Amino acid sequence: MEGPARPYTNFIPPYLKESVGKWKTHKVLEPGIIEHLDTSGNKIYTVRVASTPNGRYSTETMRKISAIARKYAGASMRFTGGINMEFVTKDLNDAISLKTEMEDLGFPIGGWDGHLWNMTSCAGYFHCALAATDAPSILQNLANNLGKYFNKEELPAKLTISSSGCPSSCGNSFLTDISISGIHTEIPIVTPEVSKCDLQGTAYTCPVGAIQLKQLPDGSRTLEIRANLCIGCGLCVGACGGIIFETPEKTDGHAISIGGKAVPSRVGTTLGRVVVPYLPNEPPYYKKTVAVVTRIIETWKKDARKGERIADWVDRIGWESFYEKTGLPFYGQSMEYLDVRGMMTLRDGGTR
Amino acid sequence: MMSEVPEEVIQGRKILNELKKGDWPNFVREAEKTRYPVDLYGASLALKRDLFTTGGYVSVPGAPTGILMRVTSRPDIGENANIVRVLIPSGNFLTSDMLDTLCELADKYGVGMIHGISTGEDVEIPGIPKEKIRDFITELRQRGFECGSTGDAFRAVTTCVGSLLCEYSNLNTAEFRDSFYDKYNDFAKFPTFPHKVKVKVSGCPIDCGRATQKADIGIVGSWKGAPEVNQSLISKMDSEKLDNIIRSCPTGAISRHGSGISIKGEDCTQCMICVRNSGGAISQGREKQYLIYAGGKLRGKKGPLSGKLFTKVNSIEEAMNLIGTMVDIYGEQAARKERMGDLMFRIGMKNFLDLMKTKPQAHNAKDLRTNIFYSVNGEERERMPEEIKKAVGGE
Repeated sequence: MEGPARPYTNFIPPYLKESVGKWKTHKVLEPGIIEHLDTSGNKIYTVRVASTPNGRYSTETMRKISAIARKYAGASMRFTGGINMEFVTKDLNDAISLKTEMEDLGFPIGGWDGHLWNMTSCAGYFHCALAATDAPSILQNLANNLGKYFNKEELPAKLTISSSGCPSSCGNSFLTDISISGIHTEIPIVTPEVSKCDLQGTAYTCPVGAIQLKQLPDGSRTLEIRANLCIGCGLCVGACGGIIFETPEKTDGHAISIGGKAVPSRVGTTLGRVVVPYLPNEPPYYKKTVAVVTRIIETWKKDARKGERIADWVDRIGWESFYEKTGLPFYGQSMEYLDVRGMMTLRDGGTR
Repeated sequence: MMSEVPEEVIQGRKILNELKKGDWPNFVREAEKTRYPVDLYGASLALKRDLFTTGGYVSVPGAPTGILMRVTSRPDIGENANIVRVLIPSGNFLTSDMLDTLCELADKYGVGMIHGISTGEDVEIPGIPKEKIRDFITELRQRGFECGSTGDAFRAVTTCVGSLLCEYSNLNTAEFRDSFYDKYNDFAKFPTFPHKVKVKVSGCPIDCGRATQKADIGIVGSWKGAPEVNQSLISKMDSEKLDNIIRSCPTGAISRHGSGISIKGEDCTQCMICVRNSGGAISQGREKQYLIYAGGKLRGKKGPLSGKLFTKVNSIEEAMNLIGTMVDIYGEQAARKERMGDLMFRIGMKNFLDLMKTKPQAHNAKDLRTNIFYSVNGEERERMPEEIKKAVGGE
């Protein structure tokens, strides 16, 4: 059969099959263990387990996880969209034993209701060709510092954190309550090495058409980047070794945005807003980044009403008050570009 | 004779030693248990520079998507960076046998590392040398897996857990994903679109599947009118809790009637707040409808754009067929490397709906325009007064 293995019923725990689509209620027994009840009175328990910040496991660890699933969770487990792991057990005792075994393996259980739910990261320097900042190591530091919110200390509402190495936002930046996104503050330059690349193909990767083919007096061809159009996304740098950021160690960094969420309650579905436009990359501890994120979370925790996500809280108090309360400095880059409704729309709709 | 260790590797090892600390599950500790070139990662942290570039090409018959080629710019420190993406079953459930198989393959062909799940919700096996990719994919297929989800094709369809574990679901998302691959697998396998197309499915408007946020085509299960109320459970409910539920409704659609409540269907926006807070006393309505969102994305020209409500349909089959129609027209009209969201932004919502042969409805507009610099063509000048006369009169 082509495509992914299916039907899904072959892969779920056997005791789950008869309850699919017949759920009635759920109850959070403790952070990370949830009891589900279906209409015919069957009960199952879901255990949510945190993963490594970038979701990479050694096969050694993965085999142990697989054995734990075989022992307690109907020989099956699922990965969530927030790169956590979830195990479904038939019995509460199994869930508790599973919790103990996973904790012994070094993976905490938690994340429900007013807690830190999930942390997602892209590959960063670990595997990717486009990274402006190393997303996983930033998230590792944040996790080490904020792990207490996963299952111990309570927050006003759900909290999600993400970290992406570049503006492509593969780590779910802008979708989560707090997002770190790598940015290139300078535009790339074209070196003579560019002649080794597929010039047409490289020019095509540019999302704004800022790269032009250019013929030199000797008849050879090169590329030219139009600085006024370039948005510094870095896609061409990944496509061709001849286009580089000259001094990424000095100019690359990351921005912090807050307030993304999917749930339509209160302010509705929103994307994150940039509150800190630039911070330098300072491995291994990224102390400034951790300090800013901690300050935002602590201010939110102190000031928000129960059930208010960060976006709802900011909507209520306003941005001016947000900067006052957190003590963060404000920079002009955070401001929205001109309202496109009135200024930029063309006569037949759309924009330039 | 010992070869000299580069300075950045020594610096990198110091940084990694610091990064390894802490109680939280640690990816550096995990990476050290594998054959992944940790020194290369350390060096890139020390240099604050990405040491990978995309590059190389490998042709594997029958696998036009699923392979990510990576080259290191410092082969003296480490290499083996190609990644193969593996599609996983709907609902993201993997059996222990499957995990063991993936571990075995990662040990045999890769560096002994598994990328548990990526944010695109597929499993990645990193570190496969170029010459082994063909054998790896052959064996992967024999063991019941399929690679995919790269290039300008349908990326892996991601869903929330849906009916498998959730009582709020209006749609069995796992079943939907299975039938999606029955119908559209060719478009998922062969890159034929101007840019990637991400389809995401959520069972209810809470949208754990992120269908409204970052999907080119997002499908959200919903219902029409008011939610179902179990009056006997409501009458047993604590009075203060009931008051809170009534107050929490953003449109004030809930009102009290003696010991029970009633919900005005025309005021309900299906935001799920009362359903979530009532502990089973209020549940989603019986008459389902499915909301189709279009144009959400994060990467590229206009930056992150959230999806716009495109249309509402009444059946799952309609939603499934609409995906095909939408990508057909998107494929014809979009410029190369233009995501659906960028196309919508460039030509405007009205023109986009015209292209998609969908009548613009008030639900398509989040807000209305404030200027009057638009064009009205001859056919519309005829049609508009007729329709308005029919609707409100005025001979």
